[in-house]
Amino acid sequence: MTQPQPQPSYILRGHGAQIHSTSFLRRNSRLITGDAEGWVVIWGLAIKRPVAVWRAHEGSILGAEPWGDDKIITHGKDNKLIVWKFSEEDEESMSVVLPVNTPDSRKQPWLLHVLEVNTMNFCPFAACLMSSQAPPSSAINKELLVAVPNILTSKTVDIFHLPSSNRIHAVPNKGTFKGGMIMTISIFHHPQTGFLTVIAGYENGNTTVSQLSSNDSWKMLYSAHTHSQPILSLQVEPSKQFYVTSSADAIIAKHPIPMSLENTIMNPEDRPLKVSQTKHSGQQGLKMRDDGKIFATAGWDSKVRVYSAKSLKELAVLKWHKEGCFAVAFASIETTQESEGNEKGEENEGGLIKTVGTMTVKEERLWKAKMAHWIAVGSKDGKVSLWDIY
Amino acid sequence: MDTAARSARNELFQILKPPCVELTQLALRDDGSASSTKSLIKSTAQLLLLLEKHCRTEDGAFDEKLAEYVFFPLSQILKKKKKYTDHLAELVMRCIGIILEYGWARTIPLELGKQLLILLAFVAGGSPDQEQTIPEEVITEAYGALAALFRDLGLTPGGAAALVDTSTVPALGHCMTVMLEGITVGASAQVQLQALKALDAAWRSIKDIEALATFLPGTISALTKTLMPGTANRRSRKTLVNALSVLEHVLATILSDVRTRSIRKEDQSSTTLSAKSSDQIVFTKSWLKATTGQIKLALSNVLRLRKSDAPDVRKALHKFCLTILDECHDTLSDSGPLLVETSLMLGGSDEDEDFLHRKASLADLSVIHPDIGELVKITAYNWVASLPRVMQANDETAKYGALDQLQKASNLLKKMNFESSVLEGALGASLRDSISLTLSSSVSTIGLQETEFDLNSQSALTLASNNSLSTEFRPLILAEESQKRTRDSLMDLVGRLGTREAQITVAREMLEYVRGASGPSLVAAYWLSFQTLRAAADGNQDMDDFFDSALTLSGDQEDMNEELMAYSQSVLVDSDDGQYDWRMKAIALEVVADRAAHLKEQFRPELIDTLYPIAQLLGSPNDKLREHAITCLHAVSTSCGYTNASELVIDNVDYMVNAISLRLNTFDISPQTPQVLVMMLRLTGPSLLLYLDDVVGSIFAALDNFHGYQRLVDILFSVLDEIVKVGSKSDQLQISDVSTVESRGNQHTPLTVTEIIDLLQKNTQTSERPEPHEPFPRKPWKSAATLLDEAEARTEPPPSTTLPDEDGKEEEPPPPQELAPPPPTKTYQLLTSITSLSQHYLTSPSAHLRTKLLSLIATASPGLAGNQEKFLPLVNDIWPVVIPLIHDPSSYVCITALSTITTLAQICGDFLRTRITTEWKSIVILARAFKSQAKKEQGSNRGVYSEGSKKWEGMVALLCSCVRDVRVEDGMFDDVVEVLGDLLWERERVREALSGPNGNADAVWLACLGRGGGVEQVFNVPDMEGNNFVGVMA
Repeated sequence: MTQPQPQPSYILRGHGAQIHSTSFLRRNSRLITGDAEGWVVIWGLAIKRPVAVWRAHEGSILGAEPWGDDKIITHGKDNKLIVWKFSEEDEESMSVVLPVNTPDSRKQPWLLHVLEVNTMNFCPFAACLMSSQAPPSSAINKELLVAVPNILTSKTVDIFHLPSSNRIHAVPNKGTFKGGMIMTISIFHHPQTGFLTVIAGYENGNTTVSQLSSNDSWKMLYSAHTHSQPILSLQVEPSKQFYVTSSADAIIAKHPIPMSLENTIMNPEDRPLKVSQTKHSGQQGLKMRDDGKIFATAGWDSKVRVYSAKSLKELAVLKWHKEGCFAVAFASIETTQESEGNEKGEENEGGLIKTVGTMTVKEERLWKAKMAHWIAVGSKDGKVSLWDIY
Repeated sequence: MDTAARSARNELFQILKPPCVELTQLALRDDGSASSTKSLIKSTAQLLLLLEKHCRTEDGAFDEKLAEYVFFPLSQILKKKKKYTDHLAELVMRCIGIILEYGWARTIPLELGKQLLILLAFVAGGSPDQEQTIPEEVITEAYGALAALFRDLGLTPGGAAALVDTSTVPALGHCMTVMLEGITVGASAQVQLQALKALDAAWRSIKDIEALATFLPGTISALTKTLMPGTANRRSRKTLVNALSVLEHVLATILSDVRTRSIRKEDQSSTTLSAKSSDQIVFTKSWLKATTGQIKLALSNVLRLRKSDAPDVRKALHKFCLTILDECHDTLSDSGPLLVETSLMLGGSDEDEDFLHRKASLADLSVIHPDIGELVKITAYNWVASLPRVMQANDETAKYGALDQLQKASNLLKKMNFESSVLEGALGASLRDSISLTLSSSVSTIGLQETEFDLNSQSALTLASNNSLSTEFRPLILAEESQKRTRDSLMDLVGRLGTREAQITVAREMLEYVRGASGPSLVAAYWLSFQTLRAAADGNQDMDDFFDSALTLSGDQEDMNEELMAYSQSVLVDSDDGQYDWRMKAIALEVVADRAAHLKEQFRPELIDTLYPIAQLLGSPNDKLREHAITCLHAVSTSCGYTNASELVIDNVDYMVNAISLRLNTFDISPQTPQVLVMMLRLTGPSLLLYLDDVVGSIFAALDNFHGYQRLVDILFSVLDEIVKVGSKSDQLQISDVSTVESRGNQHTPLTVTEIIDLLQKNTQTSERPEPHEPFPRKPWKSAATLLDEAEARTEPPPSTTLPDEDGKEEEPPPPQELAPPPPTKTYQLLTSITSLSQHYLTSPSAHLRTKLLSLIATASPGLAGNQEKFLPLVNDIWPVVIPLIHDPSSYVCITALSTITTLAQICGDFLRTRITTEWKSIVILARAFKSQAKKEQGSNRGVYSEGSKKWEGMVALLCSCVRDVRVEDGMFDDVVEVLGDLLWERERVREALSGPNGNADAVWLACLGRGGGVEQVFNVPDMEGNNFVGVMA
């Protein structure tokens, strides 16, 4: 282990406040970051500069995720969840002056939906498409399910439907279960059964898996009390085999996702698959790369730690920020491979004129930016560091 | 026609008759006496005149009969004469010349011709028993006449045959000897020229090959002697040109392929040919062999003329070579390489000639004779191989000569479509070696030009305005002026290195070589790689615009460009100076600039990686590299569509900040990095500070780690200093200050009795400004005295202070308060942390650094003072380290310390009172010391600029400020008055400060009075209505 300490390949500066959310969009060509003052910056990764800057919320940004290629969902502490129309064409008209420069208001993109939601705690929303079977471009997947903590108690999960903005489910908490406030949520359709599944992490360190069974009722399939402190983040493995939680204590735990009620014996004391005592407490913003091999956490001790998803072993420590980190994002590497195939295919179709490997320099830069295995880390100091590792 | 001709002839006859008759008579009567000779000369001259006037026509009027008629008297004269040494002979020769030229131009009586041949040869050559006394003119005329005679004979039917008649052959032989002698040892250029002409005429008129063949060896040897360049006998250019053409003719006549074909075939067709006629003894194969051998020798001598400077000679030689190559290609095949090489060297000089007049070129010849093409190749290869040797020498002429030749050869090969990868490869390698040789020979001069980079006079700032600077790089290779031509040739050669494919191949090979090599050949190969690629791009730009890449190889080229660019970046980024020759970096800069020029605005994203390394080289200790970097910045900014380099920097400052921060973070600290940062700060201004917090953090970390390295610390602090300078000007600082601005009790006015009364009355009610509106946690509990002062301050218009921006704000009601005060801006935090950091370095052993830090504090303070809550603790922190510095042994530190403390006193006011009080004793002692020192030095010639005076002035300012702003206690005030002494009434500003609201005007007045200084002049007698004051002294 005498490798030199990894260094970031670029630092994106310009947020005036701590960064609470980072994620990649549009096949890694853009990075969206949201800060504590409600500012959202979309960065062009090829040029490492902002392509759009606006103030999405009056309060801190809790989460910002893309919805397809042309929409962005932001969730703010001002009790709003907003869907913005933001396609590549919209970028041109946007301001690129960074929030740190002048805190004047900027032009906002076209607003599609606003949901009034609960933001009592810092739990960001979770979203999934209507159907996991249908391709993302199909009509049914123009609709989206958004999971947020309940507007009143913050102790149960509400699931809203977009674009109708209706609350279609409220995942009930058994009266006996006292977990405190929900800290983090994940929602998806179980790949085998197709049942809608919600995973929640609670204030008291408990985590539960609930499923909408065929008879339209919610059943809790799994519940484990692994952490002694509030759970800070959880991330489901891409093939939905298991999920990983991190909390304010030093524990990182890997939990199973039960297939369905039938093969689960209800046991109040479910056991996680693996628990790792990392000795570094306060690991937030756990994200897993979409190949399911590694995941990373942003530590309050200003270090980002990369773990192997299989063994929960620490693989690398990324140290650059001087202050605590809150958010981490992996560039998707699955989509890059996909898009590579796609683009090659396109090229072959037009093969009469174009030959493979004759990209312009600009394209190449974009290509490199998309292909890189980026990790973006957002920190309290308002900076985002980009690392190109693994 | 006939009649006209006849009448013209008659007319001419009438003209010629009288002088001829007269001359005949004179000639007949001639007795050798002087008088008769004289009259002979006279009338011959007359005849010559007439001949020159009337007979130089080709219209036929002057026919052979008339010629004979005119010749008669002349022959009479000639008969009488024994020797032809005088003027008469010359005149006669000239006459004969004209007659031969015009009269017998078509036919000449053969007998007469023969006689004339003997006669003229005799005249020209002189009789063998005589000494050379024949004048040049006569000889010249005689050769001229001979030439005309040969021409005439050649034209006369039977003339040619008559020449080789057995009876004339001896005469002809003698004549030849004479002519050849005339050519080689002729007294003057004129003689030689005429002899040459005569010889030429002879060769043209003699049709008998055999006869000619016998003359061949002699002729060749004579001509070779003539043409051989040597120091002994310099020939005129005209002679050389003529001799060449004669030689060409001679060789072409005797040895042309057509003529020798039969001989060369002998071995196949046995000896029938030679046996065919017994008189053809000369033409045998062995003869041919011997002859060609000899001629090769001769040619090798003749061809040395190629080094001649005269263009006409070169041209003639070129033509000669080509003709011989063409006509005698097979016969003289063993001379082929020599001829090819020569014509290659000389080729190109005829390129400007227009197409119609151009003779067959080497390229054309090589189409006819394939072996010529081979020869060209071989020659080129030899040249390539010998290039490094030539380049190593000190002879610039030879260098560019060799390069020119190579280029010609490569052009020719291109023209002939002889592409040889072996040759190209060899050429590439040879060029590389040549360049590295030239580089290593010039290496020694570079060491001298290392200069220290000066931060303040730095070139970086000239970037800002000056966009007229050139975007052309200074040449790297062969940089000296004397080498210009060599350089041009080299560039030319590189530029035309074969086809595009070949160029790309060479570039690739060179780059591969670069990756594995070291030393000067690395530079050479890298340079070559770049240049060939550039040439390939330049040469094919038009093509690329119209054709697909598969056809034009533009794709390959693009790949290669990318590779080169990638390598260049790695060269640039490498901060280890020792690893690369500076020229590597310079070439890399050129590559980047070229790439930018190629990509135009598309290059902008590339700046992420490239801009900083370029900018970093602005701080290189090597001035040439620095210059290159500046040029590169200009070129890149122009290419990317920025108006000048500073715009480029400003627009891409984020990229640079990133590069710098990443570098600093890994403690990869070169002295250039801070310099670039300073440049960026100066160019970009305060807006950059927002992005610099982590950089500053890294600088702090670096300071912690490297605090022992004076120079580095110094340079890092100069960055911080710059940040502070820029930051204290920024309005970002003040944004948060609106709510924190408070009167600080340093603006006092004299108390008057009425005011006290007013105040007391007011105080019983409430103060003018309602207290609850004031920011609550802002200030500690106020003492009554402060309240008093504040109230006073409000009643009076605030005097203009060091902080003018507060004037307006004081009037405004404080804005509504939030629960917590807004956190200070980033810029503010930055400045605070820098200032507080500086306290740890104030004890540094470097006096320079101490001064710098002190002035840094002084610069930062006014800006920071806006937020007292943060600032006063800071002052508290730095005070213990600042105050001892007034005792600093180096006076300029001391002076700066004094002025810094003065600034602090002005800003902090009361806050410093106890601190000053503790230090008071030492301050006063110091002040006295300074005063006496200043007085001592007053006599010296430096006057107010002396050390002592400066210190004293600083102290005076500090004391004044202590009184005015800090408000010292009364005892201390007395000390001040005492120390300042005379200055009280000498300087108005001092007096004002001391008699101000915090001072004691009365004490000042008293002091002035006590000193006996003119109180009246200084203080006006108070004027009070209804009262009169009496003078105190009165």
